[in-house]
Amino acid sequence: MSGKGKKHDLMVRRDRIGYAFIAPFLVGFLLFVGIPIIQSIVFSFHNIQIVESGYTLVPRGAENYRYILLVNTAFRQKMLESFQMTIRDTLIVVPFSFFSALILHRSFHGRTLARAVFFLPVIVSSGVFAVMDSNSIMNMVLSRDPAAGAGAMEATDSALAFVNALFAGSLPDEITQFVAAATSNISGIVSKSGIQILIFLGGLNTISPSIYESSNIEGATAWVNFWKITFPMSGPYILLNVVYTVIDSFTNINNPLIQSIWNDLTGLKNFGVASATAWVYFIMIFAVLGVTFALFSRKVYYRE
Amino acid sequence: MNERMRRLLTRRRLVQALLKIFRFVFILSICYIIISPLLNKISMSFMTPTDLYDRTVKTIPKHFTLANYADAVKYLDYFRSIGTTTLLCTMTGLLQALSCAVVGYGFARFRFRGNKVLFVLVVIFMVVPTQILLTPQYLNFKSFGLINGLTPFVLLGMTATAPRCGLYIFLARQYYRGIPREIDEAAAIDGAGPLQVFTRIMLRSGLPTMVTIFLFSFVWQWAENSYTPLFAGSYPTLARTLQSLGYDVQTKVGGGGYSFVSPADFEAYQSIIFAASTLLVILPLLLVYVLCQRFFVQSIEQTGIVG
Repeated sequence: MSGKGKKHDLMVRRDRIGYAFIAPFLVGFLLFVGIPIIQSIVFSFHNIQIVESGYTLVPRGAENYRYILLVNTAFRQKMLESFQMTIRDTLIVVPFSFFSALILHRSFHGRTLARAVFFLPVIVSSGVFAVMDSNSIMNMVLSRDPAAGAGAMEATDSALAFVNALFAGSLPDEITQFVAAATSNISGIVSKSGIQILIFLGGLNTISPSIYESSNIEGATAWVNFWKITFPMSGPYILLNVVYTVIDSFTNINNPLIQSIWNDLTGLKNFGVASATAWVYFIMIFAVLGVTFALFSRKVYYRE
Repeated sequence: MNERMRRLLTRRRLVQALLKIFRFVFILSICYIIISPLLNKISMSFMTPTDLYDRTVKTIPKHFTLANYADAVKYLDYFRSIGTTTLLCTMTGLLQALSCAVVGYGFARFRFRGNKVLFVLVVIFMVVPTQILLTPQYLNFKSFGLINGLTPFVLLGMTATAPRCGLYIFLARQYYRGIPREIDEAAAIDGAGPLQVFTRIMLRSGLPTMVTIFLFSFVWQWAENSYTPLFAGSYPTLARTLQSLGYDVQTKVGGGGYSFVSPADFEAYQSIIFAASTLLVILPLLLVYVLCQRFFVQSIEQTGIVG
């Protein structure tokens, strides 16, 4: 008994050293995250002018916010677009990556190679490559390159025609258009799913094989195994991936609103408006994440 | 009865065979979708501008040429930029891998007061869009005279507050949470301090996780072109020269010795140079990826990211 107490004391004293380990982050958070957050809130109520020695603030009250919400009609349009984009991405990317992970999780010949290729988009479609790709598509359409521009249009059209032919007016237009857009943009979806597939694969690996063994002995089919074991046990990962996809899509460089924030920032003129836009947008993202959590977290099953 | 069993068995085998075929087709087509743009660029990069508009030329160039690569190397200032970019990415990668592992370890293995509350800071950091932070960060760095060089990257890397570090801390914490606490207790009883436990046991066993963090950070930094030019001043990176390439090709028309009859010809030349340059910039990444790939998949399997 006393031995255990001593050990406990030792561990409590030891635990305080944890502060030392997280100290770098605490300092960094204060200097490079906390203070900038406060500054950014302050900026959003000002107009910023860059001068030789640094910058000066010209107070504008809530004028920046008034401008975004009431005067600038482009903001609402872009906000709507970015919400549509996010909802579409999430609805497609999460099921697709779950499905891919299920397939890549099984062992088969050449699995290592297949996995390596599936994660490749994480590399080849990040940062400047993504910008380059969207630019080059734009260039092709703009220059009316008969091969490329028309090709892209044709793909969507033919997908739409195919879906229409299949369901012949039995589905609402929105749904057929959604399916057509999704199928003709499959490469975009694949390239957005890299991290999500990784997360799902990690999750599937945490399910102990013995659960499946015992359920197989009871005579369960693969179908039943999936719905009674795999799916519920992947719950936390589905939630994580929904959150990740939502954030990724909202803060993606191709997001219309992020682009307009960047334009305001790089002009070095509209810092105030850009900060205000970013904050309005951020609050919206938080609201969406909150709703997502509220919807899903009750249904998610946690093992711990 | 026997007859029924046999029929059931054949049906089961049939279903399994069908599933196998489906899996094969699915994987093959997705792999094709991923790889085909790369293959496209590769085939384009060996063409002359006339080949690109020649309808009879599909994948294999008629006039095979390496001149595009020579031009791309010139436009990108490749051999200088690759050195500077590698320096920047290796440095940020190592710093971030180490700092995030240390911080993640601290959160995972010590039950100090306020652990959970302080971890909320990590979550906030993960969710706040980088765009909100960048302007104030830039202005602060500037007013301390730290823009122009690598100082901002060192500072952010050391303190685990560079963009996306929240995700890495999360990864590291998740990994270290999976190691039984008895190991620490045993080590403590044997007289090893926490620092020793960390350097002797945890760093080594956490190596795959750190390689993953390094890989993510290296790759993202390599292609990053939104805040890097802002913080790095005039420091040359491949991503930056790649993005300004359209402008460069237009202004420095040596044109690779071609004389362009129409603007379309020039555009063809431009997209060929784009392809060759993109490949040149991606190539080192592919090498790093192939080298680290094994660790990467292994560590993902170990951590399971959330537990």
